Amino acid sequence: MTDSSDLINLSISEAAEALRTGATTSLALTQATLERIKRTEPTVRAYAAVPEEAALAQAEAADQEIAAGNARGPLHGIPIGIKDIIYTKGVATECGSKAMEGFLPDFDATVVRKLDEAGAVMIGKTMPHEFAYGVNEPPTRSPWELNSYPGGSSTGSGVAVTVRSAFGALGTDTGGSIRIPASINNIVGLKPTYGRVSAYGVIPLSWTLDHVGPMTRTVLDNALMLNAIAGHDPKDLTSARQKVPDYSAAIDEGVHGMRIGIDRGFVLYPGVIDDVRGAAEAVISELADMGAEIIEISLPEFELTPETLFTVMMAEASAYHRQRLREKGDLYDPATRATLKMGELIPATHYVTGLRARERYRSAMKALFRGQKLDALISPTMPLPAPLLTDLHQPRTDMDIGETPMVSIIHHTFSANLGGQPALSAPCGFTRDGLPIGYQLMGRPFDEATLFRIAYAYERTQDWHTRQAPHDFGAA
Amino acid sequence: MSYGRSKSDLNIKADQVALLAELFGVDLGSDDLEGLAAALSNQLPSIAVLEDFDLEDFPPILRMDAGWYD
Repeated sequence: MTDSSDLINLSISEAAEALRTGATTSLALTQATLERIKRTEPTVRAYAAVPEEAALAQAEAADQEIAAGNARGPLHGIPIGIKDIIYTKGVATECGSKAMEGFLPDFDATVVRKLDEAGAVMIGKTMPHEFAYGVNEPPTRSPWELNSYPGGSSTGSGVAVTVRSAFGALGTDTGGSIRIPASINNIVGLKPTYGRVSAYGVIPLSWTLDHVGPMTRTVLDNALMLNAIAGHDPKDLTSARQKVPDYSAAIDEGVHGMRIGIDRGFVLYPGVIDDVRGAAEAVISELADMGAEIIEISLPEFELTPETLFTVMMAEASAYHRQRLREKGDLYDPATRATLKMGELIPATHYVTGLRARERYRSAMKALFRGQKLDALISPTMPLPAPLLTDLHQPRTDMDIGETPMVSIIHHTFSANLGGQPALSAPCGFTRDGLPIGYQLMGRPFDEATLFRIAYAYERTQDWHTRQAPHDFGAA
Repeated sequence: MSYGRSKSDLNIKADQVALLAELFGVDLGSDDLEGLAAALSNQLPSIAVLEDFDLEDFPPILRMDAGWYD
């Protein structure tokens, strides 16, 4: 297996098998990925930095270990991207901000250390929205439509995985920043349970809402990455002590007998366009055909989730940035700076009310899952496909619902951050204009395994996840 | 960025924002004031959406692990 286009199109599990059998080497995978980066970056700009020499050295070391019979597991020798708000020792971590230009961490974030221990090759730092806030416009472009919103704030991670310039990537998610770019880029993104994956060494946006998680091309790959990064970390006081299962072990056991809830009033509200509605209904039908029971539910507390999340997030983000904003405010993007300043003017009483609303939501969700014996909730990941960048903050013209596309985009993803429940986005079709559509599963705390089972069962019935962006990056 | 869906007619003026900002030590240029006043007029009433729900029995989520770790 020597053709580089064959190599970059392998999933992580396929590449791992090719490494195990000697059909390829980590060096070949890494060189093919670096070649792909050179071909795609002038157009999509998914990376903030690519430490090429270090990546090649990691690959050579991986090959030596594997050849010596010391393979560490399925990520050993696989090129992985890291969102550039995650500390990487000796490699610039600039958070998409001039205020962090040249910053070289002197330690690895725990997730980076865990990937290193699993033998992964760090292929590069992927471009985020500035400090993951999601309000500026990073240079990254979508290969699905260059003028459309590429997703965020794990922007570069989503684009790198979809254009095959990484086999997988780490993202972070405070209100949907893994799942939204996953949906927009036709890939799989998981926001794990709060505390499941260490946030130590990750620049915070909002301490109580931030999550780190994997972004991949397949559901199985996502489970393999979570296997590598999950687990208790004494350096992160919010890290959970729950036992970590093997997320790939029961992934193919199907959905027969599972109870999957849907709140149509909230997740299929008038802001959902017909193509998305149809794609979501098709997933539901497919799961029902495979033996899942679809349960109609209603949770009034969904209605308070956007305002609650914004209130909590803005206050926490502004508290974190308060000092740096005073020292380097002129180096922030104007949109980020203005939003951070606004957060300082939100009363503390609003913040505490937000935390109370959050508890009401969490209690209601717990009662719902237990009362209805639910395994998961399902929804579209976003009510609409990626909007044009020029339309992002203008009132929607396709329907009169008083929302901008940016506000609509995050309508379905917020609640999982408030409750800390795991939530996964995976591909489920395309609009008539050829833009990807994703669906979202939200589960019980620390039960990511069930989400993987459902998503894997659906993925096996379709080929959505194999389709690639139409942009021509030139001949291989 | 804000998420105000409330129909409140709150109309915060730029000079009110300037006063608040001065009290809170936020350095605002005159160019920022009108935009922030509009954004706050949209954001602050969103608390009403939360208060429409009965929060009487719900203390704020505050979780701290008091363990001492190396």
